[in-house]
Amino acid sequence: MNSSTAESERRKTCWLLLLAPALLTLIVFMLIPAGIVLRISFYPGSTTIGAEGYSLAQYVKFFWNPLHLSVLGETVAYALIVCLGCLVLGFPVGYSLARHPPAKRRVRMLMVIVPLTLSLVVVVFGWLVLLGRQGLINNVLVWLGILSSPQQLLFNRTAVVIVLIQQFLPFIILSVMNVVMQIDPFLEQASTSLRANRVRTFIKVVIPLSTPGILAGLSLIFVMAASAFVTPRLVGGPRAQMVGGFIYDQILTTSNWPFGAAMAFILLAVGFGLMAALNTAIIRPLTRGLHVQ
Amino acid sequence: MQILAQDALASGLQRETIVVFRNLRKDYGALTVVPDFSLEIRRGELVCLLGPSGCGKTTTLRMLAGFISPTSGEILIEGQNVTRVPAYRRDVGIVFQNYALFPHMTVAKNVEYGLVNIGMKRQERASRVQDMLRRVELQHLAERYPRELSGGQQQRVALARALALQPKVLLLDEPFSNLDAQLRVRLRDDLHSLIRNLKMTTLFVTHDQDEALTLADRIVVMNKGAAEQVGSPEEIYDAPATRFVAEFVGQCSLLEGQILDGGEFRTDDGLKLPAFGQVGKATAVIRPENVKKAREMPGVPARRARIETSGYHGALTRLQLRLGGSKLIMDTQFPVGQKPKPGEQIDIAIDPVAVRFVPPVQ
Repeated sequence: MNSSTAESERRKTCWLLLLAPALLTLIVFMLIPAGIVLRISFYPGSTTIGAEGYSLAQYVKFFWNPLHLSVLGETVAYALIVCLGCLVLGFPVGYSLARHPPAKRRVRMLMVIVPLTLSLVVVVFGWLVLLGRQGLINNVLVWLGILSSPQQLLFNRTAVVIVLIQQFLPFIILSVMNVVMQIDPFLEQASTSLRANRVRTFIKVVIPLSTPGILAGLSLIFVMAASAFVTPRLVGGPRAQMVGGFIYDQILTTSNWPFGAAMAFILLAVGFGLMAALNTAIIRPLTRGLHVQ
Repeated sequence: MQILAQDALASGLQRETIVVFRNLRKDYGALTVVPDFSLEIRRGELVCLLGPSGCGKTTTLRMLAGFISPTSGEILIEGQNVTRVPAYRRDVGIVFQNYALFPHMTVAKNVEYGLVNIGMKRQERASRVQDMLRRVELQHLAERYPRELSGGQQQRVALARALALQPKVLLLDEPFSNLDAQLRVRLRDDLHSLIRNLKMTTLFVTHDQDEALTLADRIVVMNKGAAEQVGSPEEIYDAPATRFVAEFVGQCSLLEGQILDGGEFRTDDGLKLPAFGQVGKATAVIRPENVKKAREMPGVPARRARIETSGYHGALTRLQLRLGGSKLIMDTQFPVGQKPKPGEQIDIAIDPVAVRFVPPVQ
């Protein structure tokens, strides 16, 4: 008995040692700064210098202003549309990757991952070149005679959505691929032998079984899209505002740290809230019969 | 009158053909998995495709299910050519090796799945599900999820799910290979009586000769994608048509030699057996239980053999014998404490009626 408790103690120590580096990094560079920012968001004034006390002034200020609310709403809308676009474009790719033999999968997967290795700024500049007045797309459209003269394709909401979808597509593809790889292909055959055609099999078997993976990928994309900052700035211009840009302005231009901090936490709360809702409403009931929890 | 009708039924003469495979062929690129396969399955018949792994038996089954389309040839179900009909319109039920139950559905939902797909009314569905679960004795587990069931229970759910649609043919793909030995035999008997009661036309695939011999009405022994021999279990075991069948189904000794004029078979080292058949090179197939102790076969010339090994198999003792230059396997019984040891001599006789001759190795 003694030896078994000693054994489990030893195991625990091992676990802690293995976790320690990541945990430490997370605490020092993420949790502590986040705590500080949270504290700042409760300062009453518009500066941190000499600030004292606790107040909800920043939060009241945010929710009292219809402009702020509409930007928040627009940000959430962007994130949802990007999620939807990623899902529609990414699911078939992820599914087919999962059903390819490993040898064929490798090269294709590489093609999905490579864009992620590029710096975001480089990717966005690439899009500027592509979509600009003298860009490839305008030239082709004019040459084909579809446009009589080059049009402004940049600096609107559609451009932001397209560029965001392109950035986040790999995440949904990889999530879908991972989850579909765990679905026994015999299940789909069983379904067809039970008089379900491909569409029905897809709806009744493939989708329910891949939903946990899909939602994991989508919540990641939602959070990243909602906090996007570089893309709306460079591709969206003044007409496409997102909360990320607002926060940037507050903190770096206006130096209003308390208000910026409050907005950052509001955005965080929206993200967490949505994920929690997804989890209780969809993932948990769906996975009752599955191994994943 | 009735007896006559039953006889006719039993002989299969009046039973209609349900499934026809006609010159089926399947290539994967340059690789031919099934070169030319033909077979007819009659109503209510339990046919088994038996063969080693890679012999094309599963491919053949999957072509009937509609998961694989043949390179050439035809498949007919109740006279209708279904070669190009998609799986979901074929009216074929299948039980997979791993059962392939839907993990996100309860047992009842699994069984109901096909019924929903054909648009059956809710009430009718419920009673059909109840009926199926009762047949496989799983009513009490209707609301469980598959992963909460044992392997044997999962198999029964898979069977109930396939049978709920009352398919024209039931396919079983190595249905017992995921179960342990004890359970396997019990479930085999259960399955057998269930399929018999439903008079279900069934095609099943296995590499286990015991399964094939006990379950099947007819066995198709497959080798390299072709039917090597088709026949009742007795025919396959007692009268194998080829060396492959003889070796694959059951144990046997194979003696190479010549059939001579005058009805005699003589091995290369001089062992003689009475024989009939075409004169020329041949291989004699002798099952271990047909090698007897000399005193059990009066009138048959006895021969003295040397025991090389002696293996204990419970009721039977299996001896590996050397007789001149030939090796023989013998299954027999000895009184307690009188089992011979390796190196000893034993007088044996080979039951001449039970010896079969197959074409020799090329």
